[in-house]
Amino acid sequence: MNLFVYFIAGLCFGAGLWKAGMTDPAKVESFLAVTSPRWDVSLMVVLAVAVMVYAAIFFWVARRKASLDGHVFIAPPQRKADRKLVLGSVLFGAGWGMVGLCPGPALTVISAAPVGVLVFLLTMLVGLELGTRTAGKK
Amino acid sequence: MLSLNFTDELLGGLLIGIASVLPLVFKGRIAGVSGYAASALRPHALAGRESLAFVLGLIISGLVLLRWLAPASVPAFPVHSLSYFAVAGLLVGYGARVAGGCTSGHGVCGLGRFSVRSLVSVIIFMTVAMVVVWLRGLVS
Repeated sequence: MNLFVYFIAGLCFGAGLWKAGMTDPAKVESFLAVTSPRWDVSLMVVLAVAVMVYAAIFFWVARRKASLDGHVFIAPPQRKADRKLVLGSVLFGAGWGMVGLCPGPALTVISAAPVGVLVFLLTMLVGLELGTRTAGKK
Repeated sequence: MLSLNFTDELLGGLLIGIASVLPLVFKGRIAGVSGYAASALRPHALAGRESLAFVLGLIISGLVLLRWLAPASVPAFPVHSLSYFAVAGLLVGYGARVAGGCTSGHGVCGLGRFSVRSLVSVIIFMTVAMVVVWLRGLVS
């Protein structure tokens, strides 16, 4: 049951990325190409809708003060942006702009990925693990 | 070409929003894809197995859609040298982990709970990615 919720969430997430066009690096690139006459703003719609859905349900759970499995849920406190956040965001943005894939789409397309994208995935996992070790997270 | 038909984007955003909030609703867990992927590398812990289940869901959704249901939707992947892909992957993975989230963690879950930290992260990584795409246009 526990794992099933996460599996369904993953399925639903991948289907959403695919439907939204996030699994197509060319579409991501035309969203990022703000100076191009062919600038494609549609992925902003995806983000806006996803954020609105998340926000509506987040504040419902936060008001209940518990998730459905009965665990007490208290909204995490707001933390200030720090140097790590800025540095990490710069590095992440650079890699995203280079290939047009972020972690979700990269994992979703694995079954159809050419060698280059598989190399990207492999070093992405190495980068995540390095980040876990240096940033001191679980 | 400018298209004002956003049906795919609306449906995709809806699915992404629901998928992001499911672990919160059922388990009280806030996480994005980079967090799940990093945690899935530690499957001996319960959180690692849960993360692995999420990652498997992602991979299987892609398998079913791209290989079986809609093979015509396999994207034209960009062509670069393997070392270019390797550097980009390292930046994406390490950067997301150090920043504490990626497009989903900061973008969807972070903005969705009105986190200022996440807003700062999203503005920075989107701006940097836009500059990188612009620079790539200059050299090509």
